[in-house]
Amino acid sequence: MCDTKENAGASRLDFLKSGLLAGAAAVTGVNLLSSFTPIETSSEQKVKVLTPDGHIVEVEEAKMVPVREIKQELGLTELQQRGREGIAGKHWVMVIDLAKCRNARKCMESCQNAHHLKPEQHHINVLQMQDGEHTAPYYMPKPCMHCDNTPCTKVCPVDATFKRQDGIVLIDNERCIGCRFCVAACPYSARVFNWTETLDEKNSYNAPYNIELNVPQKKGTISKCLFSADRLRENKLPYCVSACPNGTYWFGDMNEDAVTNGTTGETVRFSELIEKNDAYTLLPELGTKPNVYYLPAKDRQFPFDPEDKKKLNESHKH
Amino acid sequence: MSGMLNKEESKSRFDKIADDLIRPMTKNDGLSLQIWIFLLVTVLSLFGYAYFLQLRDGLGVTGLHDYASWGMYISNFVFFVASSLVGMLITAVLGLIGIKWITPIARIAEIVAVAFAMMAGLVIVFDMGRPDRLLNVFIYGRLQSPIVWDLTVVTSYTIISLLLLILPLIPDLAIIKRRLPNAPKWQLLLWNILSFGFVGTPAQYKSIHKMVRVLSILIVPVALAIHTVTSWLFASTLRHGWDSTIFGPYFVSGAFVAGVAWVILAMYFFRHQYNLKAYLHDEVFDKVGKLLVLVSLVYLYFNINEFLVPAYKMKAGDDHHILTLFTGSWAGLFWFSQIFGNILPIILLLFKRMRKPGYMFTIALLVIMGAWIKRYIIVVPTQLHPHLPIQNVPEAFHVYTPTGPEIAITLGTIGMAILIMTILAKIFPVISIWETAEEAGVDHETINQ
Amino acid sequence: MNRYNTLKHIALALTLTISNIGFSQEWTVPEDAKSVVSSVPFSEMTQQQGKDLFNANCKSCHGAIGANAPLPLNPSPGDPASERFAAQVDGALFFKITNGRAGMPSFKNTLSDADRWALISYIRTFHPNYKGAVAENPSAVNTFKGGNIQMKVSFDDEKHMATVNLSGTENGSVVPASSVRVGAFVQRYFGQMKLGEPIKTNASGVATFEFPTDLQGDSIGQLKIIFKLIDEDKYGLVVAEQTVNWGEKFVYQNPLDQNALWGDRTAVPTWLLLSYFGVVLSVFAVIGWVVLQLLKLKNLK
Repeated sequence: MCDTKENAGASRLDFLKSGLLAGAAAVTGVNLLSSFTPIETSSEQKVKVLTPDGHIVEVEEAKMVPVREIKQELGLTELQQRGREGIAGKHWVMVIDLAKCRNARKCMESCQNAHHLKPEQHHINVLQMQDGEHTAPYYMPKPCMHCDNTPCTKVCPVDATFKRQDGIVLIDNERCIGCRFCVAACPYSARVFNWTETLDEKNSYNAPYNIELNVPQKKGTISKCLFSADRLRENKLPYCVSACPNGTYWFGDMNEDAVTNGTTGETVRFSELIEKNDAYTLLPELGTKPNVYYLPAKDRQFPFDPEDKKKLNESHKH
Repeated sequence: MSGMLNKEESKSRFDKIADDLIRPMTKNDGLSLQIWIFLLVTVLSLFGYAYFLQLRDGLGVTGLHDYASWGMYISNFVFFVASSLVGMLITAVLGLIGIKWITPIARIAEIVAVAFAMMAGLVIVFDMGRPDRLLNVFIYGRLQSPIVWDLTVVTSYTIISLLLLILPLIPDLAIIKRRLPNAPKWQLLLWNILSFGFVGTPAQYKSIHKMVRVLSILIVPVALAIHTVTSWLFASTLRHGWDSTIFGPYFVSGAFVAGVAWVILAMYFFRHQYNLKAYLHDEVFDKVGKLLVLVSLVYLYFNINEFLVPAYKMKAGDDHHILTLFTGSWAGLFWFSQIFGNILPIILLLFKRMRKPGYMFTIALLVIMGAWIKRYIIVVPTQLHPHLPIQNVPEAFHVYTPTGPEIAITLGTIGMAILIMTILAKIFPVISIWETAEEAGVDHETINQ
Repeated sequence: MNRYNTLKHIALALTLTISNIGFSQEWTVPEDAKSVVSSVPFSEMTQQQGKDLFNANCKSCHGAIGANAPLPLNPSPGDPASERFAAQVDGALFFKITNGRAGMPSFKNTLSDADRWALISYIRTFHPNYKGAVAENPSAVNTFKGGNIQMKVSFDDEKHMATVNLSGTENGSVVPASSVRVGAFVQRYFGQMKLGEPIKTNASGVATFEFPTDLQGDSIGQLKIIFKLIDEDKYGLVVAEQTVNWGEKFVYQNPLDQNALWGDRTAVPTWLLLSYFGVVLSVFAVIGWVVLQLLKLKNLK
């Protein structure tokens, strides 16, 4: 018998523990503040800042912590160390319900804002797909598949891109030599390169390098989808997942067999979701073992835009 | 030739050979060399400026983008590795099976090999987004990466090629040292060091022969490895057009074609510029011409395999790639490289009268152009035909257009390779004096007087 | 001819403009669609169903109902409690939910007819003055009228069952809280995972739950089970949590423990390590031998 609100000593429940270990709470706070980019000063007291998830908020100037002080508190290596280790016991997985996607591109937007990307750089890209001449077209968001047999980390000569224990494939832009072998190796075209000065360099944004956000971006290095590793540490869903207005994304931990919808907040069993909906992975014949699953675009909620269809047909003729 | 020569005959014959072969080193080439050097320096200064731009503004000064992230630089790298392979073919393969006519061209082949092997190591640096982090490869090197294997084999191959260049030079430098006592101090010092105290004792000859023999054997697997590993940079990925099991031998066979063509160019150049008609005579050209036919036939065989089999199946993804090569936007370059870089030399050089220095020079030039374009065709179109569609990016990402700085840097690296060859050919004799003399029947005693 | 064409163009342009305006403001429903009414009478059950459906499918854009906080989109989704919705007949709402437009998805395939009517039945509870065509709109909702609900849960570890016992205060006395919906959840990293459908307490305020046996637990098979009253807005937050040992034991295997080609530099497969160094050392041993011979050359007589 247990009474309301009473919690009979749960000793273990190891998978519920978030990545925030004792003492790391300070790190998160710092982390959040350090990701503020002042973009406009509107009045004497308040400053508009860009949050990591892409919202513009007003903050009282007096409450803002200057970035320089944070740098002293937190060394680069500590963030990198933490980022390279990953969260023990987790195996992140994403499920994308193609029937729900209407090409709203809120995911792309929030992702680009969070990772300070240029308009042509996509960690997640909503593609217009048509598998055959007579098959139905559909919209397909395409993040990094965070494969279990990663073609990209295989070829990296310096361990700059690597797979960590929770399955996320990260990139360390403090180590990357810019050889772009990983770009060539990725069959999903999931990687982008900073060919020229990055937005961060242009804006002289010099926060300590957060490997789990890959910000600040650096010229001559790779950037890629990180499953929003920084957010997962704070028990939050990835930027793209929570930005979707249409319930397209489910995200969770395969080890607890649960995925949560970014739009509705509903949590369901992962195994059940993919079984009931005949989920599949992208280009399975390549043997990359992706950790992103797709639910087929059956019974879709939004029709495919006729304009897009026309364009697709034209591209087929070429 | 060998027979018994008396002392006098032997001496005069040797003097003639030594004079002929040493003359280019001392001769004041005057205007032609100055123009040549000026040309190379101009190319190099253009290169310098372009590379400065690239260092300052990033790889964005090139035409590369996320869907063609390897372009001219990597094509050029593959081309250099390919060109360097001829050293192994001539010194090792032909040398080990005892073919005699390679004597006058062995050193030329080795010079070509050394120049391109050295440059191959260097050109990858120009392709790096962060060349300042080059040391990371040594600090954090990851053995699973083909790039690390490639760096290892390129380094090994360069060292072995350098040794194979230097070893047969030792007796020559000992000769030159004695014959040109009034040469500039630095040259005397260089010859002194590089002749390693050689005075011509039988034990020394034996030792050199042994070293050359051991290295000739060693260089065969290393040379195969250097180009096979280079092909794995592509074949180890999952892309249409690269995902091929025959890429290793396909690259190696292509390399021999390019390498032999370079040797023909160098032979022609030295024959005229250095006045070596008596040594690089028509018969050598004839043999090298036949060699080019042979290696081109092997290459043709691999080309048929590489393109006909996928074209027969037309597997999804491969189909689009192959059609753009055969009849689409890449058809012009593709057929140029196939016809001029492979088929035409086979047909033309079957005729004896085409195997003459002049024709062969022209053919070799076409083959080299075709070979360079072929690497470009292997590297670029595959990336433009990814598994998933290219969308939501600028229209320009569907094609790859090299920019001025990119072309300048590429030409610069070719210029550097040619400059290295020019310098090597100026400070060392381009044809082995002692081996030529030996073949002419001159005894060791006379050579080392 | 020419003039006719011009006129046609103007007419076309006008039509386009009008339809454009129509698109952004008006949403026309065909007359015959308006007259459609639900075949299922609206009941407390349909309302509760509708509420759950609303929270799962509509809330993300329309906001919490009655809070007037829809997403700032154009055209605005609107709050279904607002006058804009109250002014429309059931048939019109049904048509719109079914077909959707622009940002509003079509629920034709994802929700059944009954589900869509259930949604309308729920929305109607916010329109006290609605007098349109309704199948039936019961005013008396048969749920527990009291408050201050207390929840007690007992667990049967053998059968993986839990019995929820609710009591509440009604008219000043503590009585079993009957007809109250209770949901069972399992705590997961990003939220609470619903286990089956909510169960309504019986006349003695009891609801019995049976749990699946294949739930993934932690390393010793523990699960954190949560019971919650579904109608939180009515009864307040009433929650019971308990950690049970019913889960499957999770055996963690760090994927990085194995040597793999995709692993980091410390995870290099042994065969590769040996081949690499074997080859490199042999080649450099030969090169070293040659260099040694070279240095010894001057001593050879």
